[in-house]
Amino acid sequence: MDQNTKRTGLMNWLVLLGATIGMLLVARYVSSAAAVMGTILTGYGLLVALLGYFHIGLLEREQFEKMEMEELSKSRGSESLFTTAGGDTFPAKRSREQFERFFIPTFTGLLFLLQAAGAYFPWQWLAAQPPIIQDNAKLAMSLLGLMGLILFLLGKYSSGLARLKGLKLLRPSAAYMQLSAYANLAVIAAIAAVLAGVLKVDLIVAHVLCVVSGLAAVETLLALVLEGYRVRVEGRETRLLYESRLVGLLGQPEAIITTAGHALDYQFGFKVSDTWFYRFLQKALLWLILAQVCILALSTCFVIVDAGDEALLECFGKPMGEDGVIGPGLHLKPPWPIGRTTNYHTERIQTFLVGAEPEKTETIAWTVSHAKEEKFLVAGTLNSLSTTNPASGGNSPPVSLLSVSIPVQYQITNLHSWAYINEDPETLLTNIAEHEVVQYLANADFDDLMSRGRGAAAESLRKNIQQQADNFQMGARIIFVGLEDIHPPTKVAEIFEKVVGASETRESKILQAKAHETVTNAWATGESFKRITTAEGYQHGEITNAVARAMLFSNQALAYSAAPGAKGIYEQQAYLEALTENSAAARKYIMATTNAPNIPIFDLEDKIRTDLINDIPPVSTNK
Amino acid sequence: MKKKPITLAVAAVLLLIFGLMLFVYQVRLSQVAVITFFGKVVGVNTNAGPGLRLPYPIEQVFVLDQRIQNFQDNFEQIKLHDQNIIFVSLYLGYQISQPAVFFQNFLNGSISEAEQKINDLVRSAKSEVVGRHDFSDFVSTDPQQLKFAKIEQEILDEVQKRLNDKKYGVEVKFLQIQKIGLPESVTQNVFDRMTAERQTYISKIQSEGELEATKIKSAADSAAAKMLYDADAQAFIKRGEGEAQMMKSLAVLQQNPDLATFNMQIAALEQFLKKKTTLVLDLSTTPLQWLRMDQPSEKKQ
Repeated sequence: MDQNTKRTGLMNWLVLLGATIGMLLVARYVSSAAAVMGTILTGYGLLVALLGYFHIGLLEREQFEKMEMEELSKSRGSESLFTTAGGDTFPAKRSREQFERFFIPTFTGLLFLLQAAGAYFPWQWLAAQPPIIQDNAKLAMSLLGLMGLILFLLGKYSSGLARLKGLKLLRPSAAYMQLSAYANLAVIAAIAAVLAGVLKVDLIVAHVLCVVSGLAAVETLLALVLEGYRVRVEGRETRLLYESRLVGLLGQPEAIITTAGHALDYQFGFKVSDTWFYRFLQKALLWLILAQVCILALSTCFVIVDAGDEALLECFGKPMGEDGVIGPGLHLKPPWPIGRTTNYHTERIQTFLVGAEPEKTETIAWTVSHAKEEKFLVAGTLNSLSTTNPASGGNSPPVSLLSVSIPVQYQITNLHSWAYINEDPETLLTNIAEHEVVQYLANADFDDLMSRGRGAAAESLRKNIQQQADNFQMGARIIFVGLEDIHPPTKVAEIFEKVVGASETRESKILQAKAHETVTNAWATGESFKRITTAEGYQHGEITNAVARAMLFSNQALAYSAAPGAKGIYEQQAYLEALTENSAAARKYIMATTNAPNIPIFDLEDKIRTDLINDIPPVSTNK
Repeated sequence: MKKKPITLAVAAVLLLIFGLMLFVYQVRLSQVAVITFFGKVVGVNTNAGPGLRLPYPIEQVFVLDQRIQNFQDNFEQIKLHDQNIIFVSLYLGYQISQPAVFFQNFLNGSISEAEQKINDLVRSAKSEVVGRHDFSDFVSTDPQQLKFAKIEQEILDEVQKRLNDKKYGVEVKFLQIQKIGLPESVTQNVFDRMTAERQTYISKIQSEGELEATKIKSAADSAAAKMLYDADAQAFIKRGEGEAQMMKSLAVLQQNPDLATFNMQIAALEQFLKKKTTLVLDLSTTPLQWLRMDQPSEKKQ
């Protein structure tokens, strides 16, 4: 460890610091997502380089201390003071050990968190990144190129230096510098692609760098975990915990075999790189990769179309065969990029929704919100009493609102039309369906639609959507339009339920009246019968009685004729009989004296009941 | 040395691939290629298949999608002719009709840039056309009043006219209303009206119930009354008939009026004496004359 190493470490750190700041400014200047991710990766290198610099400093101090101790021991002989090598005797060594034991694992843990965060959070907001400012692109590319070149050259120099014995501490920062250089190159390529019109490349490169950050995080975590299980060999040089093999590999792609060998040797504790398999792999790797590429290229000469699907087969962009459509099965095709296929689910019934997507619930009630409501305007009811439009207070027709979620099912019937006429047929079909629904509802009678007209409305909508789809040559068949989930918005659903309650009340009242009708009818029938039969009885009685009286009279006449007149026996007998029989209960006063001057006074009051007299308590006579 | 032929073969393949990439381009059936020579448009290739080109930067090939592109404009608020306010959004389909013009108007034939510009024209035309119409042209139960198709055609004509004037190199294939709506503040009023309407409906149903029930009850009562009246009439007739029959039977009384009168008097007397009666009789009343003191002999006899 010489002074030059420390200086190189410092230089690495300073260059990475400059590169991080520079890339950050360029990323903002050109608004590139890939450049932002490149900055984040370079930032990791900055931290690693700083740690490496401190580490070098501690090792350097330890070496000075060791040299001083050797000098002292030589000059003083074997005095007891310097024969023991305790911790207090070598403070620099102790500092370095403490640093490696505590600080480096802590730092590595922190680095893992940063790398994980650097992968997770940018992944979320990368898509929302504004597009590249193309006017600034050229200057940005130049600056990135310059920074990349500096990073690459210095990284190469440092990595070469790190191969020397005792200078391994330069390796992590050197690897990050080279990685940053390649990242810069990728960002430049992405910006160039955007300038060429392929806008998505910037985002793709950003996502790739995100993945790199994520993989580096995984590797750092694994290194931390595996450190506890590593086989430790006495006197063997340990690998730095914060050094990333992945970064080294990406920074030096040519060293892939060597890095893998070192990693295996280090982890297993013996020379895996000396085994025959490893040697074979080392020799045949190029051929293996070549064979893999050939197989990959060959595999693009076949295409498998699944059942229920169809594919469009193109050669140099021109449909092959009659219309380029191939059915399910295995097919031959020109290799990529000459031949291309795109699969479509033609037989499969596909669905999209007009309106809100309902939540998955077992019970769907109008009064309970089961989706984010999307309200559609519906014409007011034909029978509506109101003719005032709430939007204006004018005399426009009234409107209502409906919460709508209509599934529309369709099949692709003509793949050629589906794929080649409209750029985004799914969206267009959704738009058509939405237009037809809006138009239909704007002309529909609310109550009719909510009750008996629902089935007819669904069929009408299906036909309308089909007609429009045919007009736009979409090559699709509309199978089903479902109006099950259209209902009044949740806010007014309750009053609609009360209508049902009112109908029930109406029925209840009618039934009660019918019950009254039945009772009244029965009573009147009975009463009529009673009155008639009573009259009939009366009639019968009168007639019978009259006949009997007539017969009686005839017989009486015979008796009367025997002794007629007032002095006759018949009259006397009849008179006396009537008097005695009928006056039995009468109170009788007989004025026996006719010639006395007395005036008789009669008390005609009714006699008091004897039981009442008996109930009167006796008067007390205590004196 | 053994590796050389293979290395050469690999190099040749790679060279071929790079050569193809440099000198060949392909156009899909749904695409059109605009070819520039040092930045100047020199040709348009609409034929699907491979094409030859000079390498970059001499010639550049920009491939444009010639299928019908569709996009939706903003759901925006517009004041109508009858002072109503309505939200309207449209969707339209357009196609690149003049690729070279389109390519020059928008950076490298950028679809997103073109759509931004077209959207401006569509919004302007939409506001103008929609503002000329009444609310009933959008929402009405009368099919004659609804003018969706007319409004859409008016906007389409206006947009196409402006696109032609500005030479965007595109043709609008269709334009339709995607959605209409009311401002949020008005929505609550609509809810209130819907509630009032339902309340009226509820009252109507309940009144109908009352009416129907009253009708049924009244009809039942009326029918009962009729039945009773009929029964009473029948009863009267029967009584009358009975009395007529009775009078016929009693005609025999006329044969002996004295006896009949006597019988009736006796019957009246019987009725007279039936209940609480106090008789004050003197001895002249038959048979009390027998109580007289001056007739003991008679009594004895």
